[in-house]
Amino acid sequence: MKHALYCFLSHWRRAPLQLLLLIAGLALATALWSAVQAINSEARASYARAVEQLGAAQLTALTSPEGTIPVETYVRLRRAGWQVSPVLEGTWQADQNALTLLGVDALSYPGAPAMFQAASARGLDLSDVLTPPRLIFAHPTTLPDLMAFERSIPLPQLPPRVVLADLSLAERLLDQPGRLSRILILPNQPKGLPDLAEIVPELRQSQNSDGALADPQRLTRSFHLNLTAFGFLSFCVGLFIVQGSVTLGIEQRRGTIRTLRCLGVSTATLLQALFLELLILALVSGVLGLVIGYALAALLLPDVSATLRGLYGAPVEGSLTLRPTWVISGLVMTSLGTGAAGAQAFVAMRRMANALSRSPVASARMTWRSQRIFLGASAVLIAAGYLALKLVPGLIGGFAFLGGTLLGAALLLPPILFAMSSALLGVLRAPLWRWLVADSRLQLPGISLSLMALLLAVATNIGVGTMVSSFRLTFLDWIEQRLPADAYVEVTSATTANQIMEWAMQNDARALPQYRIDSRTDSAPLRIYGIVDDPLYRTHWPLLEAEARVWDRIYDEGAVLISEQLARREGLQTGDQIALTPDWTTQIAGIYPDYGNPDGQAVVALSTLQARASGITVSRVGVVAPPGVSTADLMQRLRQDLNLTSDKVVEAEMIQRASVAIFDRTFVVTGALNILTLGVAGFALLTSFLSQWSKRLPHLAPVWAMGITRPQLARLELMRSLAFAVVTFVLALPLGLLLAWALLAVINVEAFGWRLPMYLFPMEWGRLFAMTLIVAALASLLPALRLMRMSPATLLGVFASDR
Amino acid sequence: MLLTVKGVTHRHPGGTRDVLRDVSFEVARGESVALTGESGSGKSTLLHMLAALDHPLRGCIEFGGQDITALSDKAASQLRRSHIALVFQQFNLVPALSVADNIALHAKLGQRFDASWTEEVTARLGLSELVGRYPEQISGGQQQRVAIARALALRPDLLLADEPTGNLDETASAEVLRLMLDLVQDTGCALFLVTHSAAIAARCASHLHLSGGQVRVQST
Amino acid sequence: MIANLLHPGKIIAITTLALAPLGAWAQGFANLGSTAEDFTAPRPGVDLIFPNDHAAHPDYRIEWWYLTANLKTAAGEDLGIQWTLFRSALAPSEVDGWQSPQIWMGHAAVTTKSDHRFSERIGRGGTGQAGISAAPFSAWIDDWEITSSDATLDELTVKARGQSFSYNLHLRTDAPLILHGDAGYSVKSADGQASYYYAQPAYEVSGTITLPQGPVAVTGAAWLDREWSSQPLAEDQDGWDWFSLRLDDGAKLMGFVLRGERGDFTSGTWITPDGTAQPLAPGAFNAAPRAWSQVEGRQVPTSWQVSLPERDLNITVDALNPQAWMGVSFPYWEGPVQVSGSHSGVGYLEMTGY
Repeated sequence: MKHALYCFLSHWRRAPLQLLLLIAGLALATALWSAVQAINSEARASYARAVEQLGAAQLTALTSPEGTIPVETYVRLRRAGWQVSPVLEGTWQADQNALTLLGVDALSYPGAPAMFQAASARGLDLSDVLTPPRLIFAHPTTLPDLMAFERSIPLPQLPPRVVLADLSLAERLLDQPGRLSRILILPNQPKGLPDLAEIVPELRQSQNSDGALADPQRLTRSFHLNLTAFGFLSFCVGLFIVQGSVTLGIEQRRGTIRTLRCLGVSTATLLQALFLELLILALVSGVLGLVIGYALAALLLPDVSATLRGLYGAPVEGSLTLRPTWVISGLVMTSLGTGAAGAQAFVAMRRMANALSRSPVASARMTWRSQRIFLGASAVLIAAGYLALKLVPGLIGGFAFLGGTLLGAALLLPPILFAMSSALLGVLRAPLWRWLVADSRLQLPGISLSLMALLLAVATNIGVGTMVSSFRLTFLDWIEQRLPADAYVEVTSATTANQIMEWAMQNDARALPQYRIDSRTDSAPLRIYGIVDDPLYRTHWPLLEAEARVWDRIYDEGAVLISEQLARREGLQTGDQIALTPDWTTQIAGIYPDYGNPDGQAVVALSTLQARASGITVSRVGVVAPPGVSTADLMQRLRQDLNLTSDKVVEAEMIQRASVAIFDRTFVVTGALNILTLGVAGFALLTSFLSQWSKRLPHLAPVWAMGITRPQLARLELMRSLAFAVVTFVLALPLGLLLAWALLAVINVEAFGWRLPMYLFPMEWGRLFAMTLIVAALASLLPALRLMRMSPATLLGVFASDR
Repeated sequence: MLLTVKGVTHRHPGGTRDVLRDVSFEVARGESVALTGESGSGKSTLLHMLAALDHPLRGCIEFGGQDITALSDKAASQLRRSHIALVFQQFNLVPALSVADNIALHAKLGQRFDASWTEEVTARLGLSELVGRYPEQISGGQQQRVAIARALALRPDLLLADEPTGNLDETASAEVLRLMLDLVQDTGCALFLVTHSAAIAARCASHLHLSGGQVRVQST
Repeated sequence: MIANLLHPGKIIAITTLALAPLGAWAQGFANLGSTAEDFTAPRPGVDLIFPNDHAAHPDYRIEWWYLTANLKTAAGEDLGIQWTLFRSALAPSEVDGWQSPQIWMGHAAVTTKSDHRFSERIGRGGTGQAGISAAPFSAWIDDWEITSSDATLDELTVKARGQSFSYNLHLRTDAPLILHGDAGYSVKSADGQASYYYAQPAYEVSGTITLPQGPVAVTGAAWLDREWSSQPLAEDQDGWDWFSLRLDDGAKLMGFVLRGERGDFTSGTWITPDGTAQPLAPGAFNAAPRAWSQVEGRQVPTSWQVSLPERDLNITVDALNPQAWMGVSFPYWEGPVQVSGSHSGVGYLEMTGY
């Protein structure tokens, strides 16, 4: 065994570049996969930590259809023996920033130990929390927004922009004395308590609804599924490399295998040697991949964290921890992947070792018969994907559809290339071209796998790119429509809001105050806005669907506009009735897109809101400049006349810019993964070109002997590679668009609750096409250079020894 | 008797015609046997069966009194590893191993490696200068000499050679043949040689001719 | 009692182990001992006025309503219960709602020879979750309560409930209240730290205790302590052993040892069978550990030699259940004891700072 293995492995000493590519490809694939895993597990750990330490997300909460609950209800529950903890949540205007403020009872809140730890780290204690001036807890990144408060304490478990304080402080800041948003039911209740329905019949129980601290794992599931899908795709592309290299390695060792068999090495020993070889490769590449993956994850994590915070407010710390389970699962994944990719090598090796008496044959030519297998498998995969889309609800079905379609389409590539080359052969007359096409067709079995990898990578790039760009365009459009005024003034009280409106009237400007109340549907929070009748709404407000005379219906008939998420979640359509509060049901006049947050929203006329709801707050007033007055002048006059600090008055454009910046950051990771996938595919192509090399020499030598120069041959090689890339790209384009459609119309709806229109970006395709060509050219450059530099003697040697 | 072939019939898998029909012959220790025949007459197939690389459809092949036609792959491998050496027309050597490693390979696999004997064999075949080279760095004749050295190093009971001189010029093939016959003489092993050259066959002790799937003894 | 509420020394180390949310805030409570300026301090010669003084004194830093009872089941099994309401003020005032600086904490326990179950409740004043009313008397936190139908403490109903136990007891007495120390002014150290301290040590009890195996009827005797102060411990005092003993001859003994670096300070009250309180001079009461038990990872003296030479009293006080550890936010030992030696009887023992 020892000698046999040595003999077997010594092959790689003679083919170091091939070995390097194999290890690099596998390591890169492992790296991408494990980086995604590391990021995911880090995020999960962060969520778990936050949930555990603030401890409220999994608790059942009691909420009131009225919106808030009087403290007396809390005391009633307590006096009945129920162990409960009160929470007051609201939007609080800290300086110029609107923050979500959670007021909790520091004596009973499950997250109190985390609060205490944070306070005691500053040498502070309970009395500092409960007695004036009292402490505010916030995520470290939110602390700058609390500059005006001397006593703010960093609490990393909190999501950004959510601050925590004892109720004694929160009820004052939110101006809701004696009111509660919900009452958490603590674990471990005494036995024999009276039923909740007896004590508080007016309250409703809801799971997982600790407002701003709701379980981030639930919110971010789709995001992580996206990442995982990306990582897995890269891993699959990497496995194509392994498959190609390993099978080639067996092919190259045909002679050695035959010799070893003749020297008395059994088939079993040879298979064991192959197994060990793959295992060593997997472990070496796996370890290397983990190292790269770890570095990659560390590099990407800050952006991912930013994304998760920006998109979901989920707390993810930016630092990475090395977890043993991650290392082990990474190595197992690589080993299993290598095993799967090497399965064909085992079969090939077995066949080779057992068929010594037959003369060695050249690797199988592609035939119409072998194409049928590809076509069949492709049909099965695509059908399965389609069925999954129709039958399996949710994200899983969407991703199964994507997986089936992508792989099925990839399997179509070899038959298509075969058919194309066959058709070309029927048409072409020039002998050199005929030779080139025929030779390419002969090469198909060897490189079709890496072309499939390239196809997948390009399609993914197009698909994800289209999704992101479509999203971005829609988002830009939407945010512009949603901020129709020229400037916005942050206000903390109705008095200020009224002053601004008065000022606007006197100065021929128009004010668009944003009044709102917070209510809830059965399952989730619902924010209801009241808007004034301003022509800007009629012209600017984005609507996905609407009844005729929608704005008249809103202003005159008390109808409501609801957000797309709400409509999708509740299965509502224009014309349906919706219960905004228990005693306020009205008709839906239209549905508008909202890409800002995952919760439901509704818009009614301000007069309707005032008539139907109490506790209306106002946080922002938009101001439209009078004709002929610039936005800068408007802002200047607002500040002067109303004595507002400059940070309270914000230009609409600035809000837009900030939002877009957040959006762009969100998709940095997607972009990075896109590039890396393409890189891995390029690697696969290079590997297979190189691996074809030794086999191709006997094919090239006769052509050379017939008077085609080496530079000419090299150019042909390059051209062939580019031709493959062109065909692959042309096939990848529709596939990528299909992928984009699935992402926009299926995955996004499931993940975020909104469906996005699809825009096409031919310029992007052009860029990607160029990149694909570059990848293909780079991949074929090395073999072509080799060919150019090859000495005539080597080519002649082909004839001399005929091998 | 070292090798007894009795009534061997063979047909290629999926074939319709018997390649060998009821072939019988014997090879004694120290005997050199040449097998000639037209291309495709089944010479190589017969040789493969003698090496337990292939199985006959019917019949029996005894090596040292043991029937080798029904050996498991493991047992057949064990037999080759320790007792049977093969030399082919080409693809004889492991390209990734040096000449020295190639020469020692079979003996090491068969756990019969003897450093001084291997050295002697290497010297006798005039390969001492080449031990550090790799197969593609030496000529075809030299490669065949390395293959024979590898066989010698094992001190096999049976040396099977399939057109060992097919790729060599006249001088080289004469030299290779001489070395093999010397081996038979010096070690008492048996040589079974497949060739299409009557001249080479003539130099062996006995000469079998395969035609129409049947073996005839040629007088020498 | 609950000396650890007031003293910073040992508590910080202990409470880092506490799991209850409030445990985390223990340091906050503990620090209260350091500044007493704003709070009212007990003075000698002040008459206690009832029913007003049954109610809370928010301008004092700490206060408690502390009930213990030695009970028997019909089968003759001994057991004890504890019901305690502590008030701890972050500021010497009371305000309505969440702004209240008054913090309330309830401890309840049931102790048998082999079993000790306890529970804790915490809440803020101002909201009504916990508090005291004087007329009719009521002390409560959540659904735990001691209630009277009038402004006296003569007839009380006591209720508490933990996860695995509950009790509902009826208490009745004709005996007068006992004023400890100098007419209720009880000195706690040689430096003059003191508290207002009175008690009703002579309740007859009947009622029901529910344990996981089901409800059992119990009868026995109970002892209610009332105490409030703003800084009753000296700087060096770090623990406290407190005895309330009900002797079979009808006499009762309250005695405590405040353990300090500068030496122990002992005091107490002898209550004659007819209910007359006789304060003990500092040092008259002696208590020394006889045997220690391993309790929750620490050594606690669960058998004591107690002597009061002036009464020819020399007794052994043994815990009914040495494992009567109150693993609450501020852990301490509290459980029923049995008396033997020159006198026999039952009682309660509280030990803090171990």
